[in-house]
This record gives sequence, C-alpha cells and structure tokens, in this order.
Amino acid sequence: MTFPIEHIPDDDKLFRRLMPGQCKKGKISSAAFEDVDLSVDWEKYSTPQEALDRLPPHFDKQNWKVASLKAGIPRVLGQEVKHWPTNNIAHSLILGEKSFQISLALSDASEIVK
Amino acid sequence: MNLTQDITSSALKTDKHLENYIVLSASISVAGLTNTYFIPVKEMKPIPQAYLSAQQSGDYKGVYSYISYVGGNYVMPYGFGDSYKVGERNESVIPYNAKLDTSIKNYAYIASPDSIGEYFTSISETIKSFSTLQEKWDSYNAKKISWYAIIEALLFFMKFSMYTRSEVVNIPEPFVAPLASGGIQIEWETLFRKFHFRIPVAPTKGIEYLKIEIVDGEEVRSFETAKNIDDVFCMVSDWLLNIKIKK
Repeated sequence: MTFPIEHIPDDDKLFRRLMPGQCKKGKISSAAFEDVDLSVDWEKYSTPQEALDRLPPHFDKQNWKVASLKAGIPRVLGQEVKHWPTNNIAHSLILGEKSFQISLALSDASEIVK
Repeated sequence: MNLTQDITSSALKTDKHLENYIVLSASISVAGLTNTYFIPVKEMKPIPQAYLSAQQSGDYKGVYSYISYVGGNYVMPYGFGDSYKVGERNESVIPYNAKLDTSIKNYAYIASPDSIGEYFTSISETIKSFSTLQEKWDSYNAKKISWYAIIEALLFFMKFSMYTRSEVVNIPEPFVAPLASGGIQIEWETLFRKFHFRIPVAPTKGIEYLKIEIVDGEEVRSFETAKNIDDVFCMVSDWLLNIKIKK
C-alpha cells in the first residue's frame, strides 16, 4: 500500500522512540538526535503509545520512552522535515547533518511524553 | 605489582597471574617491517580489560597500536601484522588462537586493576557493552558502534583515571551514550560546569566538544573543535578539574 506524501505543519508534533541509554536523570541526551536521517512518527497518524508499540518485538519495551518535538523546531535549525510514509503512514524524517549544536537544540526542545 | 614494573616477552610467557593485570602501555622495537606479529597475545588470558599500546621503531616510528579484549576477540585497531605507513590506520580482529611471533623483545608496563580504580572499571563496562549492540539498536537505522570509538573511549578513560586518580572522586561519573552513526558521546556534569564530546566512528580532523558554564543559573555554552582526542583529554582535565596536562 502506498500513502500520499503530505506537508507537516510546524505546530504538529513528531514522536521519536528513545532507548534506555539515551536518557539521563529524566532528561533526553543530545546523543538521541544525531542521526542524519532521523525517523519520527507524525502525530496526525500516531499517538506516542502507537509509536512505542511499533518497537520491533525483539526489543524489551521496558524503559523505552517516547520524545515529542514540534516540526517547526528542526526547520528553524536548517533541517528538513518530511512526511515519508513506509508501511507506517506516520513515518517522517528530520533530514540533515546534525552538529553538536543542532542535536542539543533538538534535545532541549523535546520532551518525554511516554 | 606497581605501576611501572618492566616486563619482557619471556616474563609475559611465564607470568601465571597475567589475568590479574591490565597492560597499560609498551614500547616495542620491531626488526622486520612487514607481517610481524609483535604482541604475545597468546600468552594473555582472555580477560575483559587488556589494553596494550605499542610504538614501532625505524621507519614506522610514531605508529601506535592498541589492543583490547572486546566482544570475545582481541582487537588491534591501528594495523596488525601488516605493512602500513605512519598515520595509516585500519581495523583488525585477532582471534584468541592467533599464531603469534613472540620472539620480539618488548617492554611493558603493567598495573593491577586496583590502581585504575572503580571509576574506570564501571565506565569501561558500559563502553564495552556497546560492542554488543547490533545494527538498528535504536529500533531505527543506527549503525554498529565502531571498534575505533570503543577503544578510543576506553583508552580515554583509562588515561583520564590514571592522570587524575586522586581527583576523580570529586567529579561524578560521566554519562556515555552510543550514537546512531556508530560513535560514542560522553557527557560530564558538575555543579557549575559541563563538558560534552563525541568520539567519531573513525579518525577525523576535528572532534566537536561543548563546554557549558552555569552563570547566575543560566547556561553559557560554547561549541568548539579539538584537533584530536588528546586535546580533548587536556581540555576535560583543565575544564572540570583544573589540571593542566602537558602534551
């Protein structure tokens, strides 16, 4: 099944799963936002719980968390935010090289929602 | 066993208690230039913490090698038994039963794990655990953590805890996290200062780091680039512990 690619408004939230080692003392480390093609789920088609439920079965769900970030934030930082549906219609990407500064700004602007 | 006891390859062969030691560094003279296995790995027990730093002489002076037992194999990241030039690096994994030439004279400095302290031991356990992460460990597209990053991180902390042995008690353990690119991020946070840096997947021209100072409750951040990991080491020691280290 193919899904149409849509525009993601700046105010919409994006969800990203976090493995246990990417959080410290309840805060998200900038290490979680280093990937050049950072996969996220768009809130139009996913809740934080659904994002977490998409964790492949061989992972132990315990202690995994979900971060939330508004789509406009990475855009302000020069990143591209694109709806990129796969078999998951919510799948989207934050594209671009992420310097330390950008990763930190992304983690600063994110919050743990699940 | 004290920190600077010299041993030779024959001592390595006969030392029945080698598993009790961490090999810290060695200077090695190599007569042949190619296909020379100069580390008597076979004689070493497969202990989780065995590191050896070697410097070859002659035309190859200045090439450093490190060896580590990580993920079931001895790993020597900067060229092993191969012809290579100064500054050229590659990554090899040495199986435990590798056939090795132990005839080369070498001098090593060894110390018991106690002299490194628990500080290093607990961080090194976390770093070594990164070697077990498989591709897509973040449930997305993360790459395997590179041997280069793992070994550089281990060596960094070994050196750090040695140089700052009496002071490490004053700073909390750093937070270490794997990176999707295959590198490792290290973050220290004290009451008024923070220091973050990333060890890349392979040698690069610069290493990004971040210094944060808390002034009147506000974070003042400065992003800079160090030439190499040794510069980062000096920077951390100075920034967090006010220890000036001469390179």
